[in-house]
Amino acid sequence: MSELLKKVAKLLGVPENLIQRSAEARADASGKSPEEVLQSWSGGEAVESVEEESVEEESVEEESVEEESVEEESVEEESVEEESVEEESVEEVVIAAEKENTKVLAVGIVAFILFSGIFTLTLPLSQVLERAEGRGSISTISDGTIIYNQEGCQNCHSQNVRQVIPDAGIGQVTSIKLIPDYTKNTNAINIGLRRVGPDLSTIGDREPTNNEKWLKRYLTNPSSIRPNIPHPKYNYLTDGELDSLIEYLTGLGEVSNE
Amino acid sequence: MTLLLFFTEIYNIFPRSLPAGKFFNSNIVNTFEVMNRDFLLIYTSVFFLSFYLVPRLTGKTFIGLKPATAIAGLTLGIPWLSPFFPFESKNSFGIPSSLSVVLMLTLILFTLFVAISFIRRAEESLFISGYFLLASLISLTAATYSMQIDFKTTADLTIVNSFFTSSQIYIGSGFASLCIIFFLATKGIDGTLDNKSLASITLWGYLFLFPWVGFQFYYGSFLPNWLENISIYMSLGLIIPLLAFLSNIIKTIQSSREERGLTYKYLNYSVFLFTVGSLLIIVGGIPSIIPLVSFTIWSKAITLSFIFSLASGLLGIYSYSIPKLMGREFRNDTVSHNLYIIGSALVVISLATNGIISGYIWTAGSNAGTFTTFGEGYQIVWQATSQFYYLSAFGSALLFVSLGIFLVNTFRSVTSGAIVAQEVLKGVQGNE
Repeated sequence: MSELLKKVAKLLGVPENLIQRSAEARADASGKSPEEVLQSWSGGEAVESVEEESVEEESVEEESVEEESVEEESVEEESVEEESVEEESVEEVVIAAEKENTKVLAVGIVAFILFSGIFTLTLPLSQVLERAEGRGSISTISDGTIIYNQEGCQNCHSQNVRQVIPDAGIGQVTSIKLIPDYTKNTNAINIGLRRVGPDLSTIGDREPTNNEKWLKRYLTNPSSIRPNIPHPKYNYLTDGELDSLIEYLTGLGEVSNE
Repeated sequence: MTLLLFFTEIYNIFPRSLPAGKFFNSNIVNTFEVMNRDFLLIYTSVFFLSFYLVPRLTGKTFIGLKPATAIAGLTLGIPWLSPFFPFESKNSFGIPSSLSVVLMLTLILFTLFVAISFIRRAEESLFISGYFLLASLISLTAATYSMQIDFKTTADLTIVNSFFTSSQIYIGSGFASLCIIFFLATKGIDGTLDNKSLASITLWGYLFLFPWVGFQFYYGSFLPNWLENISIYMSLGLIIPLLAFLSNIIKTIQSSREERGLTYKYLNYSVFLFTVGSLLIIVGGIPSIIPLVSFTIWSKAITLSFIFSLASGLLGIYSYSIPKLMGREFRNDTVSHNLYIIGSALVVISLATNGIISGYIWTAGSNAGTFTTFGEGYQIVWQATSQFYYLSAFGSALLFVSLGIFLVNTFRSVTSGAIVAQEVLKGVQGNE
């Protein structure tokens, strides 16, 4: 009990004797033991009251600022007043010490997230847009672009050569480009965010991936080329769809990357 | 969700052996996994927590319960309407912009109901769980804003996705976990909150740092340099709120005088997984590690750490609340709990190891000069990492079995468990 009392006193910044008397008064009112009351205060949660005090509680809450000054006065007068009056006023001190302003909390959280949003979303987006302007744009959206996107190739492959050692052998670092609205975000999404398989930025410049026949064989029956690689089969695509996809893939390379 | 996770892991290993077609491909598997994990699970959790915790934290019934319930139902259905908008541009999550707007509006309305309930509470002090719940809801709303952004450059995907991951997964899901953790550690197992100031440091520290850390996954790509540098420092800075959280919650849990039942175990594991998620971000922010783990499956390990932490907390809160709501004792189901621990640990460890090893192998392949030519690069990576995919699939299968057992156990507890006293919210205004 005394340890709990110390903890609550420390938590609320109120002397222990005041806390103890306050807890006893609250315990009498609520029909609980003082320890239970202290327990609930230590977790920041008030004890369940048996009495219905809805109207009173709401009005107390709305006039919280006024209350605090009144409560402070009541503490000063504590020694003069009778025992029962003392207990009530001491309890109010505890209530005032616990009082929190949820509006400030909510506004603070919104402000924090807005602040972060400006620096982690709005500002970087405008900066990359500035960098992209004048560097050309991906002006077309081919059938192959859409098929690549619909089949989910971007879930395992990226088209993004970075300025880091693991990417040194792939080719020229990918530059930022503008994307016209009519491409419906498809070109941007095809850049990909994860590399389970190799990066495809420059496969149009490499042997044998720039060979259409090799690529067609690999896409329709990967095990015929690499038995252990779990690449999905795309043998369900029509010849026309495969040709479009291959045309798109072989178009990826240093030239399109500049 | 665990079934879909299992299915995704299996798909990663045996895509050639599974039946494939235009309606069943990598995109469908990925979309369903993301929809379930990033939307359905997180939204359902925060709505459940709001309805369950608000009366217990405020001493009043949920203000506007009926409209809020309708809004929650609508919100859960919105992401699934995407196929009916075929001509609208979609973001990387497959949701059209117009639906993202509706999603944001419904979340704003729901958050307002929760905020009003908190402001007009009967209690003098808002329980610390309430802080995290409110922050989680506001952050989820912010995430829906990022989903409406149309990409103007090839770099936008990385920026928007980083913001979304931070706000939806790290803050949205992570703070929902913290909400449960603080509730269970005090109310659930009858512990005494050790230090409210440390809880505040945890809240504001994570809230300030989390939005920046997502950029570490796209290090070296199109991002402005200042953003990459700040992201590294912010990731390393996570150690401060993490230590504040750990020192506070460990002492709080230790102060519990209750018998160490199922709620206690799930609570502890939720704390552990949240810590693992934070540590993975911190490790990923170390300058020598960051080029290796960026663009790898490492980011999925972090996401799943937070998601599993949330799920563990939810299982804890179910085992705590079912006896109080249904008046039946919850069976002490250690099998399901142990399987959950083994399964989730296997998934997280294997994905994290997989991420860092594949980073090393890509580097080695690049130095050898045989990177993607003839597919050797991928073959080398696959040989080094395939066992971790198998482990991850095995772990997700265990998770699925574990949750199946938990479901059966819950059903048996509710139908034939020993009768115990039901919770009566006597002090809650409007409930008497």
